[in-house]
Amino acid sequence: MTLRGIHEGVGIALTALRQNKIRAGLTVLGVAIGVLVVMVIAAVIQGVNDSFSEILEAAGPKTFFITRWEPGVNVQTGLEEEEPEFFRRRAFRAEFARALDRLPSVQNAYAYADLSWLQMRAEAGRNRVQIGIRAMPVAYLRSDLGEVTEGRWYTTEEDRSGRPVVVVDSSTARELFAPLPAVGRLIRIGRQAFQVIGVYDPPPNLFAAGGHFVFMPFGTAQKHIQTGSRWFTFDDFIEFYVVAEPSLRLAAAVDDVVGRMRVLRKLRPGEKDDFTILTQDLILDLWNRLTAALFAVMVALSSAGLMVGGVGVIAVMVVAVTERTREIGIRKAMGATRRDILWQFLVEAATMTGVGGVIGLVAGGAIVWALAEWTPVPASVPLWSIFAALLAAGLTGIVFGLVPALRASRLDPVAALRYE
Amino acid sequence: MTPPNDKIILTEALTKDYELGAETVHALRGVDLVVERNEYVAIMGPSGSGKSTLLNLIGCLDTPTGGRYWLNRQEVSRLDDAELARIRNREVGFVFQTFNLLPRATALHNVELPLIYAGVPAKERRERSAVALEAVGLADRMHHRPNELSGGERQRVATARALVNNPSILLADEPTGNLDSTTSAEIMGLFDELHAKGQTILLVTHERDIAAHAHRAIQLRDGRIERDERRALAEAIR
Repeated sequence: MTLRGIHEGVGIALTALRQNKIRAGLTVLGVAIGVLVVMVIAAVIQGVNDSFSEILEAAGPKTFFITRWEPGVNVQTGLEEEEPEFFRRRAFRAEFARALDRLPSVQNAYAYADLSWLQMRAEAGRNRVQIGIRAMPVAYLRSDLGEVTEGRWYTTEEDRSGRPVVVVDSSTARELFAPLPAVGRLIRIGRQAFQVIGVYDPPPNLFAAGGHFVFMPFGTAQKHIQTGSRWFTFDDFIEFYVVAEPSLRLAAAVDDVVGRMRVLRKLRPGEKDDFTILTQDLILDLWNRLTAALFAVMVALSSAGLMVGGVGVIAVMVVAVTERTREIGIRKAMGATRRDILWQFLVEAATMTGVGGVIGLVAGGAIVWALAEWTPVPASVPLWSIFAALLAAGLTGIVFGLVPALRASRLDPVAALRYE
Repeated sequence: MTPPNDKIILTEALTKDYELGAETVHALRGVDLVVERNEYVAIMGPSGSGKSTLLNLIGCLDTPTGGRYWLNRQEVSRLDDAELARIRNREVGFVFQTFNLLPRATALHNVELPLIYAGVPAKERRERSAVALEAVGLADRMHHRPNELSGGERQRVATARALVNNPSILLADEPTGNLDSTTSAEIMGLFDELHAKGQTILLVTHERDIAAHAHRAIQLRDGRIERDERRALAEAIR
């Protein structure tokens, strides 16, 4: 049959939807959820990907990191016989940075400490907020910092002398000091008072998101910050980032750094590295693995939704075929071929799931919009996900509607006409 | 072998068996029938005599167990499902006792149905259906649904639908079975008119006064033709 048949089938399907509200509603809901999940997860992956590549680009391709931790998605159940080897690695010492810095293949090497997941309390007068401390060198790549909108960034001198100065993000400044300006005021972290010398406006980026941040010179943090934890000292958080000499190959710098680190760590030949070099390729690779896992979750969740929808399609269509046996007989008597009838019911099933798909798209779009607007999670709908979602919805209708539609198409016209 | 042009229906030893559980029902036991163009035939017989089965075979709704059948010079006893659908669409117009209109569709849309399956474009479809409805006197009822129409009006819609594709034969299975006598007379008047314009008509009925409209009466019994009478022309014209 041609477009005419499709047009008619769509009309019949919409009527049928109105007449079988619960069954059809369930079907539509299942498909809508399936589609919605595809949309939202695809949008989040897309958005996080964008943020991620922004960060990597800002850091520059010649930058790599040295950490004590093993990279990867480490799942700890708490039931392991033994804690992983890297839990027992000795802390880094800040002086390593100077030794690495002297390598000819290295342009700069810095020590830094990101304590943000410790979440410490900062107070100003009666106001208090939970903050994450990032002890960064003066030359810190500022990509996740955005712009310092008030005051200034700290100086090498302040770093060297460990002066208690901080740069805070705009939301922290607001919550502690609004309506007054923050610059020049004091905040208390633990027993130490720090002077706010700058306020920055964080760009919307997942990795800088999730709360309040306080930046301070690495030297300041070393001097004034106690973790307040029995398990970790400040030194446990020390890591390095290294900018390789731009004129040389990255691999050369990595090799030199590994060699020097082994010396600094006093490792014997044959002993395993007790540190990890995180190059951007490696980070990207890790990230891609995580994305793949997210995709798997997406596929699983949306298949569940589409499966519910599919079962609904079967239920609705079986009933539709039975209820309209006589109609099928009439159509056959008037010259409808098996294919015409098959088409009619397939179009009907696909229309039903298509409605679910559109609802899912709209709801998913709304959720993505809300995420992007009101949460730090970046999200933008990639075009392919819209097509994928609608295709999945339509296919669900056709695949699950096939058996009932085939049954309808094979009805004997004489028997169908006699059906009461 | 191709039958001559004027023999619109030609059957040869047509049989039809049904499996009913373990039993085989011989609904037709060898029917030889010739109907010529513009004949007006009544098929009669007690219930179970096979008259509906014969009509279904003639209308290509069903296929015979044995024997051969030519409709409009084409042997249709050998056609497959899709070809039979095409024959039903182009060559046959059905009128049923229970009207068999699509309940949710308007009269116009019901009449359009055969044209949809014939692949006629929408505009032409609507025009031709409107003309067919005017021809049965329902010009003002086109946009009514079946439940807004009287029994007689419904059967007129069904007749318009049966004729809209200009079929070779009009088949009616007890067309007045669900109608009162006044309305029955109306519908039979319509059939007489159609016949006068050259339409070939076969109708199944068990009522003598309805059969009296036809020019030829075939009596079936136990799946065979028991009697086949042509009325004198003078009597037929009345």
